[in-house]
Amino acid sequence: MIGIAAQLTLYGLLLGSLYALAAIGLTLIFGIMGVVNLSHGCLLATAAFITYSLHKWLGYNVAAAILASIIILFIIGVIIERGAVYPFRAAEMTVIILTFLIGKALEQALYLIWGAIYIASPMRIPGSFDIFGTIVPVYQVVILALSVALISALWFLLQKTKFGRAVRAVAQDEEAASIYGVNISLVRILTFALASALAAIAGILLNSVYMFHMTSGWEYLLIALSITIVGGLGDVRGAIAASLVMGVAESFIGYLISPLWRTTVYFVLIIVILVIKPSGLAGLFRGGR
Amino acid sequence: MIRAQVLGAILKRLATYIIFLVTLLLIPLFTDNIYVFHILTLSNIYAIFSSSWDLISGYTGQVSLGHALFFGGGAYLSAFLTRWFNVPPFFCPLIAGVAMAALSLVVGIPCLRLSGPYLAIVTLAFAETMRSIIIAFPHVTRGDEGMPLVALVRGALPNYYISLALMFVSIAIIYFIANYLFRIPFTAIRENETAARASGIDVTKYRLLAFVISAFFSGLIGSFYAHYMMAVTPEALSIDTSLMPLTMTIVGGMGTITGPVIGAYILVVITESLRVLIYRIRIIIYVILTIIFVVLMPGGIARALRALTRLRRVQRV
Repeated sequence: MIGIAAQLTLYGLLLGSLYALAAIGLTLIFGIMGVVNLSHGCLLATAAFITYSLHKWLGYNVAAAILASIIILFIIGVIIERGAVYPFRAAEMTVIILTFLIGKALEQALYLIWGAIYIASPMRIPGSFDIFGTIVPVYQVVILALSVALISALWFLLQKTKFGRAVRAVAQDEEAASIYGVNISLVRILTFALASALAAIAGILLNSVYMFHMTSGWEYLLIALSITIVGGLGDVRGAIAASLVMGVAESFIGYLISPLWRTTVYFVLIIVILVIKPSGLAGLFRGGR
Repeated sequence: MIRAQVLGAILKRLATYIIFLVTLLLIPLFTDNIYVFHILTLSNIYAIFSSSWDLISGYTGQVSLGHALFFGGGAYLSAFLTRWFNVPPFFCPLIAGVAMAALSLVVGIPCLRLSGPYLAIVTLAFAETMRSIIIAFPHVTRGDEGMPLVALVRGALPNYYISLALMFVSIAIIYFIANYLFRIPFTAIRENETAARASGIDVTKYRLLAFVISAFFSGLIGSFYAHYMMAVTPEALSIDTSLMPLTMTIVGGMGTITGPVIGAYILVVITESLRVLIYRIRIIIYVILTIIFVVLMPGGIARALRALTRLRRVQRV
């Protein structure tokens, strides 16, 4: 019994840390630009598909394929920011519509190139080990370690480096930041590209847990959105906490009830949070406003 | 003088409306091709769906990205009602409309209190959740296969006339609500929310009102669509379905009510007549077309036409 609980918790933390990678990107973009990037989920799926076909069709080895698709998504991020977000920064709803359409375009591109297939990640790490009767697959530990390392690196980047200070300054007050010599354009581009690269990593790693379909992106968009809403839009710490909690919850609900209720639970959460505390739950624990 | 001008404008609009109606009424005199009726019926259906979307998104500035929720919800409700409760199909559209209006309150109240992107997120999420629930219970909803329905009436021509009647009544009501009944609050909210709030307009109330009316018409026409196609699949709740009114409204002209009708006619006629050629790539065509219109011609076709007639008038003077 404890064995199963431990296994579920590990699995939940794994999912949660991957969702955190996706949600941090979304919440950073909201913090900096005040817009919701609805193409975010499709970036995850696109990255997974690119990795898959670079490996399968063009014969890249797995690490090179992953690296290449992260770079491609980084560039796609720059393009989306310059093409669809920056020119319409004054009209929030236009940006929402445009990013939604870009997500749809990516999804259709996946459909036209690959067709309606399910793909599994080429990254396979075999083996498992036994801790006190709990079977722990090696790949879960590796992915969890990878994503925790990434989140920590990101935390360091945001808190300790000049770039991180610039990002936080722009999030707080764009005008004041620009008076102090922060290059707003560069911060916006880099944040968006960084968020897209994080989405790519999340997508590639998630693909070794779940199969991906061209429409899977929307599912992960909704998960990331509900995490950012629960954590408070624009709040990185809240997003990380919320993802871990929700990852574990998802893993237990999937085991105890049915995996079919996955998205439903996330949706119910969005509504409940919007009704009781629209600014996100993170504020509650900080004696928040 | 001014009153005469206003009256003239109203008469002119009424005349256009009647000409349009008479043309569509007379089409069966010139052709008996069932496929033509099918295309026109679909156009009428999407015209209502799109103008109802326009009411919330074009007028009050809150974008709904999950209007499929009401369209597909109305369709599935109709299927359940006729299958299990033996409700005569004739009443279904109205019941579906009312039920979807009630559902829209559940979604709308938490979202519309807040300013920002919440309605877009929550409608998108709700529609997708509804779709996954429908798929998750195949023994009730027959899952991906979809449910069969009884037609309201048999034959292409009667269905065409019903859809035409529905469209003209619905468009007239939506147009009246948007441009006469709540013209001032709606346009005020669209142009400047803060200013509207400052002038004492209850922004949340009018947004909710627009959303509920919009959901009513979407549910109504979703139910009619299901009866007309004699089947409903989870496709009706998908993002593709939500994309339809968005594309048609943006191509036709947001915030005009008549624009979405133009958009629906143009897009349905093009996609249906080129179905063999472009069926596989129709969604990406919609998406690219919409992006082009958002970026290059945000007023859509309706505003371009309006500008064109104004230009001509200026030249005449």
